[in-house]
Amino acid sequence: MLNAAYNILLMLIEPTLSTLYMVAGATVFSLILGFPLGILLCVTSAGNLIPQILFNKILEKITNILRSFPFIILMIIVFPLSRFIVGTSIGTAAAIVPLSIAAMPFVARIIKSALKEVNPEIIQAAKVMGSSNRQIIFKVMLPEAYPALIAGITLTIINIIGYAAMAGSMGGGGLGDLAIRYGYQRFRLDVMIGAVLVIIIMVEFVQFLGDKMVHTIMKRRGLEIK
Amino acid sequence: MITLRNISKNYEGVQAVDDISLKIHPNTVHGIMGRSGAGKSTLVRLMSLLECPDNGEVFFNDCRVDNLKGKALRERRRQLGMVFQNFNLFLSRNVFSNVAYPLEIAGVDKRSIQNRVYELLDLVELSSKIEYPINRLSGGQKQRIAIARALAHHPKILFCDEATSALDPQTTLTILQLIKDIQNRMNLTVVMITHQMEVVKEICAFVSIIDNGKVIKNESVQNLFSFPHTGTAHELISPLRYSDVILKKQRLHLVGNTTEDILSRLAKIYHTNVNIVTGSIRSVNNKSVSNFIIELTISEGTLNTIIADLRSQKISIEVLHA
Ligand SMILES: Nc1ncnc2c1ncn2[C@@H]1O[C@H](COP(=O)(O)OP(=O)(O)O)[C@@H](O)[C@H]1O
Ligand SMILES: [Mg+2]
Repeated sequence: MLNAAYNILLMLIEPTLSTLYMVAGATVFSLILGFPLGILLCVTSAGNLIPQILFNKILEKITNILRSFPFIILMIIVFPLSRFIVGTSIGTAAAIVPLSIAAMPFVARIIKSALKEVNPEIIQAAKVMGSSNRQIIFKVMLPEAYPALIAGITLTIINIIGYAAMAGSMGGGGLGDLAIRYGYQRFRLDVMIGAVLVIIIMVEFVQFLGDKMVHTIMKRRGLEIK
Repeated sequence: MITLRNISKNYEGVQAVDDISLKIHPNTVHGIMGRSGAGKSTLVRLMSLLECPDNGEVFFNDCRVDNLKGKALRERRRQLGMVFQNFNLFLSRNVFSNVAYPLEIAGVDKRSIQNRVYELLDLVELSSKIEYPINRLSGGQKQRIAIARALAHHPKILFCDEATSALDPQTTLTILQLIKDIQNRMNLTVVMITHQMEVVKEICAFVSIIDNGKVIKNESVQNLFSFPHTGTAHELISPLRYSDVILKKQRLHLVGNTTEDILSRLAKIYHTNVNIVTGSIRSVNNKSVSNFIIELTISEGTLNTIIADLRSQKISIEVLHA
């Protein structure tokens, strides 16, 4: 019994590391791509910092289309791109490409809506003090929106963990792959349960960390929550 | 100091400012009064270079400023300060770094920022709150911090858009006092936008009454109150409750379940000294009944609030005319 559990634990180590690698990579790249896009979506909207109505409409459309793309299909479409960037279209590193692309519009929307919630009057106050647009974005809007941004990024990472499991089953390796290969194909329910448990722990941990950070910021700002 | 020449601003068909010409003299407090929606905020946004007029020109001294762009515009804005109804402080920054912000973005070095912030907090008497988050301050304290922040660059002009409208009468008075003080000490030109006659009467030397985007009256406050008026000017002036800003000594007789606790609470909530003239606490049927005569220096508005407050606690209260 103990031996069996130990064996499952051993089997879980490598896929867990692959999943962490995929999630971390996709988080970093989706943030790098999605953050500027989210800022652009916000500041170019009507009545905001640099209104560019047509440009904003087009950008909105593109993000929406990207966001509504089924992930599986997106993966297949970006196979050539993954091959071009990573050198192969299978494996953990290759899976980071579609994961990042899938999460990017999600990140963009979250950043956008967090920034849109910043009180326009505060932005006006910053403006009258002689701030440049760049200073308003980086010294006012982003810091003011910090709690909402952290909450949004937490949600993004949790989503990526889910997608990573799916990507795993399509040749990306990791926990999703393990669950499918053992649980589904070899009827090893125990292995599948182990894989699912690890995924749940990951999600819970990320959520806990995110909540903790938001709580800390709120407290520093003199706001107690719950 | 500020000259407006035939300025207009239209928002999708709404003529918010309609061909206004106005001179604001240096080193004065100039009130801009009018009903809600009259165009006061729009006018102040045009003066504070937050927006460009559709037509007309804005001059600071003899320098045209309404057509500035980019760096020149930002530098010009640094020569004016503005405070708002809802304070508009940065919640992501504490007291110190709120006041430091305008200096920070102008590239002032750390040492000078620190010195200036200390100076400013001293001026508004909030040095003790330097590390506080904004949410831990009262409305009046927030406005003081906002004033300190607005003064960071030694501006020559201070715009106040309904700066006291979110505050109770008592706090309003202290903020007006502070503005008056600063104006005197720093030779500031202050433009006070308000819909409250009391504010105009309290600190303005000149006043322009705005209605429907037009200036309908422009004169010294002294004249405004000396002659009868018609139309909007009359409407704005007649409901004047001068009593709301005048502090008077009031003597109150309280009977009921009052303990000293309630008196100290009054002092705390209404920021006033409570003098006990006479007082006794007696035990009747195992209940203590107190009988106090106290003296407070408060405005009529605050007096009425206190009366309502105490009556809601089943304390009988009588105003004694001293
Ligand atoms: N940014 C804006 N967009 C559209 N309409 C506006 C805007 N700002 C002001 N207005 C309109 O202009 C008029 C004057 O508004 P405002 O200057 O805010 O008045 P006040 O400050 O005297 O209450 C109002 O009818 C208001 O609806
Ligand atoms: Mg207004």
